[in-house]
Amino acid sequence: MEKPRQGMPVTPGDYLGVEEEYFPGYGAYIDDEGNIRSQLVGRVLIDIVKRTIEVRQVRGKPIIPKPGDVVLGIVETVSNDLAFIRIYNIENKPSRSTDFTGVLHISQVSSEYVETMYDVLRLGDVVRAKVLNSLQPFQLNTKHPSFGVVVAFCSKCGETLKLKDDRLICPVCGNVEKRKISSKYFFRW
Amino acid sequence: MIEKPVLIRDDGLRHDGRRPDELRPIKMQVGILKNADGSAYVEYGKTKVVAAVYGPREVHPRHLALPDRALIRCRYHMAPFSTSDRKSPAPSRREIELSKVIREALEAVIFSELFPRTSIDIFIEVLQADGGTRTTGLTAASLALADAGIPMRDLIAGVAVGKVDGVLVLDIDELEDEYGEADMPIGYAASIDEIMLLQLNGVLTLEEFRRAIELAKEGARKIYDQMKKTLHDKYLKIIEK
Ligand SMILES: [Zn+2]
Repeated sequence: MEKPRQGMPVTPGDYLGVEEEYFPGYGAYIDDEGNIRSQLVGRVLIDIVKRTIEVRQVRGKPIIPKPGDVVLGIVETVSNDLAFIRIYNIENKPSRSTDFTGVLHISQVSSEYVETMYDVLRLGDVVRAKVLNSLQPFQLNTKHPSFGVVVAFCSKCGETLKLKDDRLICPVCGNVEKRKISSKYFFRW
Repeated sequence: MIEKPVLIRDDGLRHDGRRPDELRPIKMQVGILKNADGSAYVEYGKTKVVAAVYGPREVHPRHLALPDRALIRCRYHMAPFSTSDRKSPAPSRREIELSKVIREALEAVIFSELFPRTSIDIFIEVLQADGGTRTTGLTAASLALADAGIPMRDLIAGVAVGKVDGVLVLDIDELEDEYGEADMPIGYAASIDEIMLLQLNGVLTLEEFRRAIELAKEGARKIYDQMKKTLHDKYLKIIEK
């Protein structure tokens, strides 16, 4: 069998060596006979010092939110102390579609006291948040100044609200609304 | 009543001119659908199939989620225009059975334990049917999973061996399936040398069965090599330069 070289292209099932030679890393596994094989379409990455062999994936790495990830999502339901947010994007991983449910509890919204969820976000808002856990539904946190609502809509006329001097104002009807506003709010006056 | 056509001609070739151990012309493409996480298009002669993979993603309805691994779902579907017979759009018994058979073959190679509480959804759409739709579908689904970056033990190549006019033939088409004595589709993971799908409709002697497996493996290995080349040409060639 062909000896794997650094950078060699591989597909699932390809032989990468035997257990005695390397420790299988990301994208590699040991079959029933003790051979190391590739799980993925990618390139071989050998670390001679650590004696590891792994496969660097060329495309389509599955993405599931993990603790610490920054995500964007749309508020789907709101109650007094809880909001459900549909996560559609993980920051810095734009290549794939994402569709997971996130939960934001009132205690995780802001470092300041929040009386009710309705004061900090509304249905349909786009929220930038941090993921806290690795199990579904994903728990979210928006305490950091760059987290919170990045797009909000006027609850009177539906127009996109614009940010002016720390306030969200409707350019059509002049309505002013309250949110936990992210410093990265998309639309400015 | 239509008379049985000649399946093996006097010169030993098949009704379409192929040798008994010859595959139909096979074409493959990966990454053909923009909105799927992985996709593939595969042609075995006039049989044409598209496969799309979505996931790992959140399971709907949520109570189907498995705590320790991904839920793998597969839908094999014949497009209404894929056959000459009129076909109802509701899934037929045959489609439900083939969905299950293909899913079980793929489940055996996917590292589903890496994605607990998610689903991996595989859609196989037969656009044109001329025999071997389940094996073409299996090949396409395996490519689409690789294209989606789903970790797997191996790729699976599907192919069917049949017995027509007493002769074992590789990659049977619809006519050979209809008038032949036996049809044996297999799914073969060539690198790890494991058969992931094996069915037999009709009768073979033990000796014929043994030879049929060898013939099928040999054909599947050629298809497997083409699968690897397709993935290689699409994603790995550029990097090498
Ligand atoms: Zn307004």
